[in-house]
Amino acid sequence: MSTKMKADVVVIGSGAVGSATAYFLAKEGKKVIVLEKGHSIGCGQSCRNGGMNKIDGRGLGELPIAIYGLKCWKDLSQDVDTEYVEKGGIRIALDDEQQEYMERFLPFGKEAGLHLQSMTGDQLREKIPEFSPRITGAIYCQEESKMNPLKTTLGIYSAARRLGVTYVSGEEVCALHTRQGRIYAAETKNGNLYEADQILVAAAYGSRQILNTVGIDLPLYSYYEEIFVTEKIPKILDQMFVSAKVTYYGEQQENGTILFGGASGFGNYPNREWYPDSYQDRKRLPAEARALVDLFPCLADTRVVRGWGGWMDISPDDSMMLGETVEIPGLFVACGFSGHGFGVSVPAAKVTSEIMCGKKPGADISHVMYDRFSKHMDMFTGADRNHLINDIQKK
Amino acid sequence: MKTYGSDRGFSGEAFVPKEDDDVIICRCEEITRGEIRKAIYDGMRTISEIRRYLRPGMGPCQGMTCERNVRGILARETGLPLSQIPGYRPRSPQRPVTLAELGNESEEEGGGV
Ligand SMILES: Cc1cc2nc3c(=O)[nH]c(=O)nc-3n(C[C@H](O)[C@H](O)[C@H](O)COP(=O)(O)OP(=O)(O)OC[C@H]3O[C@@H](n4cnc5c(N)ncnc54)[C@H](O)[C@@H]3O)c2cc1C
Repeated sequence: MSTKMKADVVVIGSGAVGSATAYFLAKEGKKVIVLEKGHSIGCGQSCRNGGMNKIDGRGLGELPIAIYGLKCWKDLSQDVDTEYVEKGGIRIALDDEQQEYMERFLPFGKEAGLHLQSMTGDQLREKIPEFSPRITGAIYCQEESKMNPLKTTLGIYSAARRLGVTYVSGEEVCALHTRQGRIYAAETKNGNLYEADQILVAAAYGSRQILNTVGIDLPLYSYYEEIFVTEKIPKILDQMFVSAKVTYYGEQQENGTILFGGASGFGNYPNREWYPDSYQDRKRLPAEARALVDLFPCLADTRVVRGWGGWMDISPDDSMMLGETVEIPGLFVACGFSGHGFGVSVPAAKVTSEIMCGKKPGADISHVMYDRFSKHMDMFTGADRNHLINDIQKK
Repeated sequence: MKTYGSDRGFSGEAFVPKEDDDVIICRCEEITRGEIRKAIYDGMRTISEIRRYLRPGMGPCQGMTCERNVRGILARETGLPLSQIPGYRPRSPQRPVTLAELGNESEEEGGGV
């Protein structure tokens, strides 16, 4: 049984990025269909992440979008229960080298208008006494925030659905089709065809394979990360917190539970730079548990309730890939969010919806165009790609 | 044909409350039957979506008591047979353990900050 459906826009992927774009487009009066490969809406990273909006230390190309997000998140929160709380964030150093690394961002962040404050470990503990004495320094960023990723992702879906967006789950896109050089349709494994003048590929890592069917290749890789949540405990802190190189991150949610996760890139554990393709075994959760107690010794007897993981889509410079493809007019891309995309999902969706409507985007996207790596694509194949990615990152 | 996770359209009708809506279904998170029915009305069509949207079964007992009831409500509200609705997905560590216990591996395991 195969069906044919038509819409103004087809969005592939029902994560926060795809769904929020559909939501904004529906507000502009567009008829939108969202196709999701999983049974559940948002079942990719958007319902697995920590809900932290890290701005300090982001790739500079993403910064304008993150700053646009300050407005976009507040606007969205009028309509969707996001549990958005803007109480700032803390980046933590354990030694001088880490402190120096963190401070490199300061001039750029300040120029972009962020309120950043360097502090010593003691100054940090004056604010939040529970932090470990091992912490030597911190940077506080006032604009950082946290939200409930589950409620947000599914709330955006619910709001988009009310605006008339059609969602089809269990519908995996296997190919795109063009007609006279323009995008024309998305075909699914179930044998259905969805026609539209505009198609947005927002399928995280899955985007690479989908785009390959029309001859476009993006250097996207996948990377596994785990996170856990504790029982509810009395409030320790309002701010989200991350390590100097964002190898781990955590927050206390509004309901009192603590979410904590990371690449376990600490101690004897390999840093992101040393990772094999994935590092998924029983050692990870214990390593993260030790890291959290190292940061907050008072949590040793707090119980872990649940752990889970998710596959991230990583781009060579850890920044998103956006834009309408030059190769195929009408085909748009929003992927490569590199493990910190939830915080910028809504503004990235907003600018994507703006360019899809032919409007001037609310933030500068010129440094996060999808094709910025195209000249180097030959570097992004083969087994030792991680090293190549890291070489490029260091430049 | 209705299948699990399908039929996501919005009817445009208002939510209709029912008499037994204030019965608590998930004790850990204090979630009522009415809230679960409202989540389904809001578009949640799978057990995972209901859990993520509302948190039933996400508390300390990890759904030991409410799983059956939540499945039953979803079956009734969507008209699907119970046999088509899966249970909660178990997550480690199954029973809550303290951070100290969980992190208590031998020295050579390394880790920590
Ligand atoms: C453990 C973990 C913790 C994280 N913590 C944070 C954090 O604290 N802060 C932060 O900002 N970010 C965080 N992230 C990253 C963040 O979750 C992602 O960057 C963000 O959710 C990306 O949104 P998305 O919509 O692009 O992707 P996704 O939510 O992954 O959505 C893509 C969707 O596309 C679907 N799809 C794929 N292929 C196809 C296909 N062929 N056809 C149809 N559908 C398809 C997938 O099933 C998926 O639902 C974390 C990620 C993980 C895994």
